[in-house]
Amino acid sequence: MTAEIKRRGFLKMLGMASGTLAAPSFTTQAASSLTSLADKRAPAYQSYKDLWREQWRWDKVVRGTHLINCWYQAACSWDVYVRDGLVYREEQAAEYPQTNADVPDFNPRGCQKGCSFSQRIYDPTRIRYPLKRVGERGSNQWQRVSWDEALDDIAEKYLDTLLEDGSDCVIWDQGPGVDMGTTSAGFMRLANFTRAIILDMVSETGDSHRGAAETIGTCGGERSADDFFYSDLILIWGSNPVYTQIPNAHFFTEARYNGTKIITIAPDYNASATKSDLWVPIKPTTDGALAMGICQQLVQSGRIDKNFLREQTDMPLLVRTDSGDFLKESDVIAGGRDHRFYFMDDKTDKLTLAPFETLKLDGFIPRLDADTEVVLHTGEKVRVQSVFQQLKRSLREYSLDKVSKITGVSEGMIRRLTDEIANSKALSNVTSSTLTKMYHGNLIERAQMLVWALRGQYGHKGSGFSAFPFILGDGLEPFTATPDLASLKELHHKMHSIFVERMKQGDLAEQISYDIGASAFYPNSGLPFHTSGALFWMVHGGMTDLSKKDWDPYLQKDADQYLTEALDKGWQPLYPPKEKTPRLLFSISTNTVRRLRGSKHIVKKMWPHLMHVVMDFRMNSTTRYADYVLPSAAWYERTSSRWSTQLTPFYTLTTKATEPLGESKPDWEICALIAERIQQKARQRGLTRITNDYGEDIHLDKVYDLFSMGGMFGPKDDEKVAQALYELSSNVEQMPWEELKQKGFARYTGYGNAAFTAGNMTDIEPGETITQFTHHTRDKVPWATQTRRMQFYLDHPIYKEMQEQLPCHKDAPNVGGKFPLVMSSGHARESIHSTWRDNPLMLQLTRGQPFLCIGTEDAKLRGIEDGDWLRVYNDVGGYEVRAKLAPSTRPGQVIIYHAWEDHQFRKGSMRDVTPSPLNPVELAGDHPHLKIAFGWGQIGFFDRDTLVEVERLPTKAQ
Amino acid sequence: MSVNQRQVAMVMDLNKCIGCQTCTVACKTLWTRNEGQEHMLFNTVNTAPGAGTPRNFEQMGGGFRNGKAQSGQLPTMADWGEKFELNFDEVFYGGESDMPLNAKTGEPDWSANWDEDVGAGEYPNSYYFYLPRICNHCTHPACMAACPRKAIEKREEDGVVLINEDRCRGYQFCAEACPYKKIYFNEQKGVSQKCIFCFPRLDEGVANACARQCPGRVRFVGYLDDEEGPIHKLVYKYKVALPLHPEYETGPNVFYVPPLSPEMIDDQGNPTGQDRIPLSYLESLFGDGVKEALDLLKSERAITQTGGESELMDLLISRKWQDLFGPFSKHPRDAERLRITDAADPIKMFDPQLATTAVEEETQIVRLIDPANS
Repeated sequence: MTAEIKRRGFLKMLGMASGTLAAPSFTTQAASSLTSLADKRAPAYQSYKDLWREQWRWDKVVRGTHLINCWYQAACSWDVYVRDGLVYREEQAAEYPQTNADVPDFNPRGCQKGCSFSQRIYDPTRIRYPLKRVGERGSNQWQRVSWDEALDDIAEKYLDTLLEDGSDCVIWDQGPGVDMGTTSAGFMRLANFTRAIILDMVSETGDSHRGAAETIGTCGGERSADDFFYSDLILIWGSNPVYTQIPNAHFFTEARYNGTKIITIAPDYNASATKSDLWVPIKPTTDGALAMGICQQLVQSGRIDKNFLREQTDMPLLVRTDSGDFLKESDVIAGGRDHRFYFMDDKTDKLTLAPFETLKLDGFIPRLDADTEVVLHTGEKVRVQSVFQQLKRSLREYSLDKVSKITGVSEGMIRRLTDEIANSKALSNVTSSTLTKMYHGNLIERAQMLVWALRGQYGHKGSGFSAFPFILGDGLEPFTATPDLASLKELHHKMHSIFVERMKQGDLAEQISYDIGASAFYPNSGLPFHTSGALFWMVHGGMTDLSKKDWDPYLQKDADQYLTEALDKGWQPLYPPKEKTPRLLFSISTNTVRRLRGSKHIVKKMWPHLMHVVMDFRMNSTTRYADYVLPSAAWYERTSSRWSTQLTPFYTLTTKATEPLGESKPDWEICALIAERIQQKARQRGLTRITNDYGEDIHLDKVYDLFSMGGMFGPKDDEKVAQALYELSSNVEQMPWEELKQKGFARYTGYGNAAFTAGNMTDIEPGETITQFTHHTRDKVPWATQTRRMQFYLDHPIYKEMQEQLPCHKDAPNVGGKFPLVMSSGHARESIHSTWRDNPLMLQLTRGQPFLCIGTEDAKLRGIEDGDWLRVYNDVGGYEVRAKLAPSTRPGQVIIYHAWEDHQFRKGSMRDVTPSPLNPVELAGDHPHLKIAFGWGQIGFFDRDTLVEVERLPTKAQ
Repeated sequence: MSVNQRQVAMVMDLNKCIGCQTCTVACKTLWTRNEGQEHMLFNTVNTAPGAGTPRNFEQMGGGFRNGKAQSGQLPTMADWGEKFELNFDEVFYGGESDMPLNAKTGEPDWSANWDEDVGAGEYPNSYYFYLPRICNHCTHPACMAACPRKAIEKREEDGVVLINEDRCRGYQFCAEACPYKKIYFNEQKGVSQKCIFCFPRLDEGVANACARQCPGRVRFVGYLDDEEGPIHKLVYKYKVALPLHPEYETGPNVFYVPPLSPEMIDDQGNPTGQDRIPLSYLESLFGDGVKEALDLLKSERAITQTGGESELMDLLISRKWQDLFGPFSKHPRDAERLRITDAADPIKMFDPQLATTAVEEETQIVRLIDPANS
């Protein structure tokens, strides 16, 4: 398998050996095993038809999937067709059951990327051997080395770093390729037992949906895709599902035939807009103003669901007009509690403590438009107003004409949109993370959620505002945390007692879940040790250097100052702390350098002090900067399960179909081998237990023993690990392992015990589509926020400083300087992040190169024609790219779709203009429901509101 | 010229096509992966209005007019769009920093999907949709009429049009004559090649790869004369599925449900209630039946909107995916000739007792959040 052989001209061969039937060439440089093919099968040639028939033949079929964060479109089960030891094609298994007779089934699920992964793994980007850098960093000079040599070097460095710099100077960067299956199990166990740092990258990718977290205490929440069938109005707002939810798109087009209206709100007439009944063109970054405008129309005309607001939201809660804080029990009663809040009861006209254990109102009628005076226990009198009263006042700022001016949406269109929303009985949204990649994305999302709340559009079939879809088998978390299976029970007991104890004190199970997850961001949690990826790169990579204070008129101080203050106050945990220098960085299943905004700056600052090890199956923007490149097995060459989303609530499996190509190895095996080598070297050096800066023990001489659970899960046992993860999962339909391998998927039965998904607050029932938040709306379980209600008012000092107590519109800052064009982006149709970006087949089906979409008018102004070379620049940097003239791109906007590799640009790269400025409100980690958690409560990265100018370059200039 | 007994056909619903190219890739990886076929895409999806594949094929002639064969052009490699040969080795292992990925054949200036999502019209009233195309397996194939070698046959059992590569000598008269320009030339083999309607799959009762692998659930496959099947109903009963360029007079057996479109916007930015894709443009593609088809789609949709029943809407929705494929709904795995034999006995690796106890305890915890119990 290892020799590189030339492509064989099978058809030429056929010409020579006439009368025999040859198999087609499988395009690959690695197809050495194909050489004997012609001899193996040589039925007599009868007609040309046999040649065609011969192409549709195979040795075996294995169920597989792709271990990639395609997020909304995950859970595609494929048949992987193997011929002569290589995967030659794949076709959807397409055996998902229909949930019930009302709704379309999920078949066949898949997309062009999944359908060409068999091409990807044998294309020239594939890594087959361990490589060691021999030239300057970034110079693309490599030496092929043995696994032995690579492991030796890496284990030495690992051990030295643990001893000399501390365990927190070893960093594991995971990325969108992470599976929550055997890859995650591998690196998380290795990191766990060496107390290395794992970067949580959710908010760093701009996906944290902070606005949702601010409103409901979690960024999670999504429906199943077939639940859209019960919606009568779907708003595609800040999303382009025709590109990014390819296997789900039929639910929208079919819902339309079923009578559902679809409205797309977007600056450009994008592919999803073409599938809509109405497209609302909007000026980029002004979606918050539109939402507020709609809210104003709804409130003004009284088309609001008052009962919902009274029961489920903070709208009736009272706010002190003197301080801007919620009126607390401790204000009114000496010795009262800080976390009990008041409303005015209409029935008794009395100041009333809002129920805290439940949302049930027990006969109270909380007054929405309260404005009164209360006497504090100090005798002082203060004026208090309900949140709704304050909201009404601030909504006056959003008159039709004003909103129309900000957003570029006509008054008639806003009215129409409002009417459609007001007339909808089941309103849903299609979410993605475009708006959250804007500096004020949180404000936009809060305003959107307010529209849904005003209409009471939560908790019934076909309704709900979705933010962050996610579901996984809950076997992973315990598997990564425990030294052996026997202590699993102990872990469960420990968790159980935490829950019981805290719930006795009145805490919500949902909050307890988040807190347990959050403990992983601090030492001594007993869980794999995490830190916020965004904060890590911001601080250690010096990203604040790239931004200027005067971009955002609301900033009182330099971003760096906000950051330092927040760190000093302990609002955000950061490991290693600012003073320390990361020494060893692993990029696993991620294209770190491609992913990070401002990465050139970060690389320049950090990489000189690092050993960088990349584990991947393909060369990319990140391998260029690595010291070691370790070849990972591709997703058809190993066994693992993957996370998915409730949009498609199926746990999906990939089963090893062929041997790993060349010398590549499954990630689990690589991690096991590193663990083994560290242990071996530690023993050679006579090292045993060390204690890190935080008093955590690391058993250097037992790293592998712990990793492998005493040898139970050895380097070659990735399938056994996959089986363990499945069987330990309480929330997945159970069947014998071999049956699951044959079937390829199993339906989720619930959200289970995974901390991240607790916020969905709903059930997964057989025969039912999934509607989120029913535990709140039906069972009246409180929301996991400070006030235990959907919370639109935030009384944290930094929100007050930034004037963001209530949802509002703020003009986007001048990110990159004052330039006339907003450079927006979106995930591409033809690639998942960068994974297919330079795949020759995908390039054949696009333009072969990166391109920037520019509207007719803007192009004309600048003398630009289709295909011209452009320079795109701002105060931060610049890059060169070719122009694509697209009449559907909005004037004032240019679009470069996501994740082109650095080497696809002839000069610079698309991230050279994106500084991703820090938004200080995101540092507010001391707030009761904005403290750090897996995925949220952290700072985010932004690039969708970057400003640039473009100029035409002479055609042939370099 | 043989007369086929039955005709297999395809209906493509343009309201469901999302331009994702999964059909293109499914076809490519199955049928045109060999040397000489690099540029071939038996199945294409292009943005319409647009140049299509090959570039400007609608201006290349061919087909018939009043029964008379029309002369046609042969598309060039540049019209098809080449597969880019890229310098990966130089980029990754060349020893130079910042070496960009380039096409060895020079800077790309066309490809089979170059004008993706460009369309026509001016912002905010620009418009476009996706037009997937395969060989139309015509009732009167111009290619067949033009072949001096009689190397093109129409299968008796299903009307699938095939190029007999044993007879073909690569003259390419067929490619000139085809008005849809769906015939490629294989220089390695010296023969013309085109979509085979996945006949090896059809013969096994399995739907075409482009249809079965379409995540948009766009394509119906079946016999045109099957009165109970969706194709017959869509084409003849409801007349919402129309042939592309019927004026070419070849009698295509691929039919399209024409696209609805979002409302036009007036000068003030207000919605107008008018479709944004000009009817005349759609009629130039699908003939005179477009208006009636669109009107029927709208009126039937108005019925479902108010909770009523509509057979047409149900057909187009196809809640059960398999209903798209009628007699060709067999799973490809069941057609396989080399079966997996290594299925082992199910083994449970872990003590189920341990897992169950733990899980039950956790479940109780979750149930505790019911406020009634707290």
